[in-house]
Amino acid sequence: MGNNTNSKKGLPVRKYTKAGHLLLRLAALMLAAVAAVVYCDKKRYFITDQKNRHHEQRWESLYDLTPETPIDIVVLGNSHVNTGIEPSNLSCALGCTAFDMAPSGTDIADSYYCLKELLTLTTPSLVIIETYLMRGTDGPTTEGSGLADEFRSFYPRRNLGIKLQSLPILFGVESYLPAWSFTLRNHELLLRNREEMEKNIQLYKDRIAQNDDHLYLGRFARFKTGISDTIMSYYDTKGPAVDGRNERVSIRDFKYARKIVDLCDKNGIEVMFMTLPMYYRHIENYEAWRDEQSRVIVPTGKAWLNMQIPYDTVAFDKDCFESTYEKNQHMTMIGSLVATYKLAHFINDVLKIDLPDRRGDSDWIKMFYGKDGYFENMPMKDNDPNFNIVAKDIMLEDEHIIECFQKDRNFALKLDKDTEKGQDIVLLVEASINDEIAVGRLDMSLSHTFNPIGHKYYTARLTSGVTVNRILGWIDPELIESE
Amino acid sequence: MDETDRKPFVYDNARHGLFLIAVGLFKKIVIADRLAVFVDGVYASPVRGLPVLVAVIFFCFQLYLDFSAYSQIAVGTAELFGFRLSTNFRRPYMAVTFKDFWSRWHITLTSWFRDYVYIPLGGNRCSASRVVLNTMIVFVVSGIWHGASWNFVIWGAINGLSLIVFDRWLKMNPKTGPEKVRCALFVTSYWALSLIFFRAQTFSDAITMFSYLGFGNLDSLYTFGMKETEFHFTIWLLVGLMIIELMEERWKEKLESFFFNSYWLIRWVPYLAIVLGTIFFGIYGNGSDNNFIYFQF
Repeated sequence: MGNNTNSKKGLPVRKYTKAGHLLLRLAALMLAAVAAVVYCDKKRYFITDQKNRHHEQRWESLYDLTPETPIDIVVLGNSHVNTGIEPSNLSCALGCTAFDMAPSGTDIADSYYCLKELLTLTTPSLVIIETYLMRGTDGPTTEGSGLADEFRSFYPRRNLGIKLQSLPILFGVESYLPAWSFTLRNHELLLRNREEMEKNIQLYKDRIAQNDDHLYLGRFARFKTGISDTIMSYYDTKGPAVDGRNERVSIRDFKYARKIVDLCDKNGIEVMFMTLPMYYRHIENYEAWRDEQSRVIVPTGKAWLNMQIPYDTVAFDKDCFESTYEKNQHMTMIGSLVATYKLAHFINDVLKIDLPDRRGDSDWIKMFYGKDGYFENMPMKDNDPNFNIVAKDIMLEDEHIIECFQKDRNFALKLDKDTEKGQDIVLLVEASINDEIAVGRLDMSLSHTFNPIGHKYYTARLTSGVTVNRILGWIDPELIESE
Repeated sequence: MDETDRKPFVYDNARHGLFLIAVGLFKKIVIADRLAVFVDGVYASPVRGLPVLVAVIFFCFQLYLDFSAYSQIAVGTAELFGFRLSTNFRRPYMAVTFKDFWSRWHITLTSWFRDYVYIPLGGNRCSASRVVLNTMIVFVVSGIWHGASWNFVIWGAINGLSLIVFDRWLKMNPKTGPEKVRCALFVTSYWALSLIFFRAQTFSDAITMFSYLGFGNLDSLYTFGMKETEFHFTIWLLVGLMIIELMEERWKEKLESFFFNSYWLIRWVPYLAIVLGTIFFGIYGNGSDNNFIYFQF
C-alpha cells in the first residue's frame, strides 16, 4: 500500500494511493447516509400506526418515571397482559406501583431483554411472567406480522448494549439493520402509501403539541365489548377454537423463562407465573397445555396463578373476553379488571411478599389520585370538588361505612371487609330530585369488576338529576322480597 | 494466493470498484427487485392484455439488471483487491443485430460456449447447413445449461433461430441511425418474448402468457403490487437507465474520464444519490427474500 506508481506497467497513478484515504471517504459517505436515515427517524417520517403507539409510549413512560418513581411490580407479557392486566388498579389495590412490560406480539426472549433493560432503571419487588409468552417458538421471527411487533418492541428500547445483545436472539440476519430504524423498515411508504406517511406525521405533531403527560403504565385498552351472539353460536356449532393438545413449550421458552427467574433471583426479586384466561368455551383440553407449561414452571419452584383452571365461571363471563373465534383471545376492559383484582388478591393473600406500602407517600398519592382504580381502593380528599361525599367513616346501625360518594350518576359505597352484608344491599336514602327532597330506597350490588383488598365495594347507577344527600338506614333485601 | 500475487493498492481502481458495487446494488435492490414484484404477480395470476405485455417487458429488464448487477458487484469487488475481471454485460439492449446482442449478453458464458462447443463442432469453417446445425446445438445446449426443462430448450432454440434467420439469411445489418433504432427495438423485443419460456414455470404457462399478450385491461395494471406512483417511478427509472446506457454507448471513456476526474462535488452528488436512492427506494427489509436470479442456475 502507499505506492505511487503501478510497478507492473510503470504508469503514473494518482497521488492518493493509500487505502486509508479511500476508507475515510467511504466512511464520510456512509456517515452522510446514516445521518439522513437518523434525521428521518427523528422526524418520524416513516413511522406507522401512530394511534397505536403503545410500544413507544411504554418505554417513554418508563424512562420518564424512573428512577424517581420506583416500579414495584412488573408484569411481563404480550398483548394478553397489556389488555388483560390494568396496572393502575393493581397499583391502587396493593398501594404500590405496577407496570405492564408487555409489548404486543412478542415472546419470552423479548421479555427477558425488556426486563434486563428495565432493571437498569429500577428494581421491582415482584416480577410476574404471563405464560402466554411461552408460545412454542424455536427462534427469532423471520417474517410476517409478528416481526412488525418485534420491531416495534425493539426500536424504543434505549440501552444500546442490551439492544445489541438481543439483536441475534430476536431477529434473523436480514432484519438486523431494519430493526434499528423506522426509515429502513418502512421506506416503501414513500412510493406505496404517502397518505399513511402524511397522516402519521400529522398525528405525531398533534401529540407533541398536546404535550400529554398522563400517567402511562403500559396498558393498551383495545376491546370494549364482550363475546357476541355470533361467536357464541360458533361454540355451539364448531366447538372451541383452541385445542390445548396442540400447544407446546419450546426449548427457547424453557431457556428464557429460566433466564428471567435467574435474573430476578440474582437481583433479589420475587417471581411468580400467571395465566390469564380465555373464555372457557373458547378452549378445550387446556390441561394438556397446562402440563406443558408445568414442565417449565414447576422446576423453578415459583408460585403460579392460573386463571384458566380452575376457571371462575361467575367472574369471567362472556363480557370479559374479546369477541373472536381466532386462536388468540384477549380480555375486555371488564375482564381485565376481574383478572387484575384476582391477581391483587393472590399477591396479597397467597404470595404474601413484602411489597412497599406507598399509600402514605404523598408523591405516590399525587401520581395516582383520580387515576383508574384510585377511588375504588383509596380514600378521596375531603374537599374534592368533583365528588359528592355522602358519608365518611361513620357507623350506621352497627355497620361501619368507610366511604360513600357520588360522582355524576355513579354512586359507590365502601364497607368493611368483614361485613355480613351480602351481594346485594338496599339503602334508605334522602335525595334531591330536581330541587325537591325525597326519601327512597337505593339498590346496590357488590361490584363485579372492582374487588378491593381492604373493603367491600358496592355500586349503583342513579337516575339522572338525583343527588343523594344522606344515608338514613339499611333495608333488608329479603324483607322486601317477602313483602 | 501466492505472495507474488499480492496486488498493490491503487486508489483509482479501488474507487472504481466501490462505484461499481454501489451501482450494482442500486440496480439490483432498487430496480430489478421492484420489477420482480410486478413480474411475479403477473406470472402467478396473469390478466389478459397490458399487464402481461408489461410483465414481459419488465422481466426482460429485470433479468438484465439482476444479472448485470450481480456481475458488476463481482467485478467491483475484484477491482477493490486489485484484480480485473472481464466485463459480462455490455449494454445488450443497444444491440442492433442478434450477433451483436450475443457479443454483449453474458459475455463469459457466450465465449465459453463459442470456444468449447461451437468451435470444436466446426464453427463457421464448414458447410452452411453444418453452421446452422452448430449454431442450433450451441443454443439448445445453452438452454439446457439453464435448467432441465423443455421451456429452456425452446428458449435456446428460439434464440438460435434468430441468429440463423435474421442475421445469416436475411442479413440484418442496419447502417443509418433510424435503422439502428428500429433494429435494436426488434432485437430486444424478440429477446423479451423468448424470455417468456425462460420465466414461465411450464410450457402451458408460457403459452398462456403468449395468448394473453395485448393492450387491454389498463385498469388492472396497478393491481400487481405496484400502485400508480410506484409504477410511474419504475418506468422513469428504466427510461433513465436507457438514457445512461445510450450515452455510455457513445461516450463511455469520455464520460468516465470526466466523472472520475471532476471536482469532488460533482462526484459526490451521484455517489450520495446512489447510496440514498438504494436506502430509500430499495426493496428490502420486512423479511423480503430477493436472491439474485442466477443463484438458481
